[in-house]
Amino acid sequence: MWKILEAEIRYHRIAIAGALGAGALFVTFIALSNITKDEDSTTAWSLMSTVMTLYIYLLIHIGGHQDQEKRDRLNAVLPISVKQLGIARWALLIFVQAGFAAISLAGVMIANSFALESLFQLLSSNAFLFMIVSFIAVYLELGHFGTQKYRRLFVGLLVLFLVLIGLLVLSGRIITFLKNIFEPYKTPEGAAIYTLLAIGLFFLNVIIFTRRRSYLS
Amino acid sequence: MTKAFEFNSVVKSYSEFTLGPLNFSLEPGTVLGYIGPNGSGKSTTMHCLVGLIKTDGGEMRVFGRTTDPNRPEWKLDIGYVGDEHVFYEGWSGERNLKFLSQFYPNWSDQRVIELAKRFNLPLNKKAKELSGGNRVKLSLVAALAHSPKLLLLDEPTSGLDPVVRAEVLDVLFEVLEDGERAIFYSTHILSDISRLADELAFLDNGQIKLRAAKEDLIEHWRKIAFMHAGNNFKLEATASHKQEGADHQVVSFDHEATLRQLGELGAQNVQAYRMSIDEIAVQILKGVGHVENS
Repeated sequence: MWKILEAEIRYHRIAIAGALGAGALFVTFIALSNITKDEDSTTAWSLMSTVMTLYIYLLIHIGGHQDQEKRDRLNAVLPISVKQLGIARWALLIFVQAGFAAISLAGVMIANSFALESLFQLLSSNAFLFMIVSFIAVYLELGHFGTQKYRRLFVGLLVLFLVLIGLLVLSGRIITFLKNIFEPYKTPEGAAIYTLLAIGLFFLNVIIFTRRRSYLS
Repeated sequence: MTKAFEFNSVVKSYSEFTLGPLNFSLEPGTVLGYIGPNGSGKSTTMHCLVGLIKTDGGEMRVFGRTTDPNRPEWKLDIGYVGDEHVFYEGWSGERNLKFLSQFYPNWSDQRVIELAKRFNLPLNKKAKELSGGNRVKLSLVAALAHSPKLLLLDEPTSGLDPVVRAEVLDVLFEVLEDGERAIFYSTHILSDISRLADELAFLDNGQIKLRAAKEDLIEHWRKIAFMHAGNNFKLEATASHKQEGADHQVVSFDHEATLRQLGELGAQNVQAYRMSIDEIAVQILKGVGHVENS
């Protein structure tokens, strides 16, 4: 597993270093500017928003879902278990995100005196970000099951989610709903819940990968 | 002796195609040519065996080990050249091979150097810059560098020019020299495998129609020409029968039986001709698809 992870990091080293470098510059600029001087620890959230943008950019850059599939095909023939392969390909994202989290943390520490609250906020926002990426990945992974059943299930759940959001907007309860969701953001309980959900989605992705009927690109 | 591989009632189903149930095995030191038209299931068989696709039923073993995807030690014994040659495209051939070497305790860098030199393969070029032929060569070097006991080759010479094809086959002959390695070689180019194979299995529409030792096929199959005025008779053990007036030409898969019957029928000017393995294979697969006899 570590050999695959190491290979993936080496293979994407320019993209990873470029994005992390750009992220570090951006975070440093924001942290040292007046934008954040008067704000409390919510700065972490705004910093994370920018980092999120960079992260998504990185994903697009590493991108090539097809390219990844070809590497999976190469690696699936190697004498490593399919479970290890499934973990290794996702561990790359954790590695990248850990880098961004470290940059964000440094930014928070430069901008504000460090508070424990900031750490929870950072954990929550990272976990939230990872959940979004994992959710997209689940959709992509389900596409490998050959039938449309799983894709339909996924699209159905997405439509249901959008309908619920629509109903909340129409009923004027969306602000309260969002507050309730993000309220625990700064608390240890909230951070723990978001992190556990992210870990859950991580393993869901690994399980879906191991249950693929085919590793042909 | 432990079999190089075994298929026991292996089935893989798609909406419009089913492979199997397959029941066959391969002895170490044997070359089995796996012959069939395009779409007959040759690559699917390979993909099942190497773990690239999951079967819907049955069991496979490689040197006695079940092909459990979560206990992958069985893959250590396999060298695989697939129908598609995939690499870390942005890496050089050398870097790709270095990556692969970490997974095989028996990997030999010396062998890599020898094979690359022999194939005239530029290892410093990025994989994405390699020609189709060089990608095949790189796959072959990767498959052979850890001296696997079982070599799975899925149409390995497609895309290669005749000189390199001959070179590849020479290398495969050398691989077989110690008598312990097995090769499972799928192709629809008969001339490649007729030189190399000990046995041939003919696949049609997901089913193995015939498996026989190459020598047995050569020994028993004959093209027989004879003269006989009658046309109301049926010959035994014949794959085809052409008639023009009193001239007959048959292809027999048991020439002794056919000749005996012709003697009883009083056929005249009977002449039996040996057939090449290519001609025999074409006869077997005739009518089930295209076989390139080059």
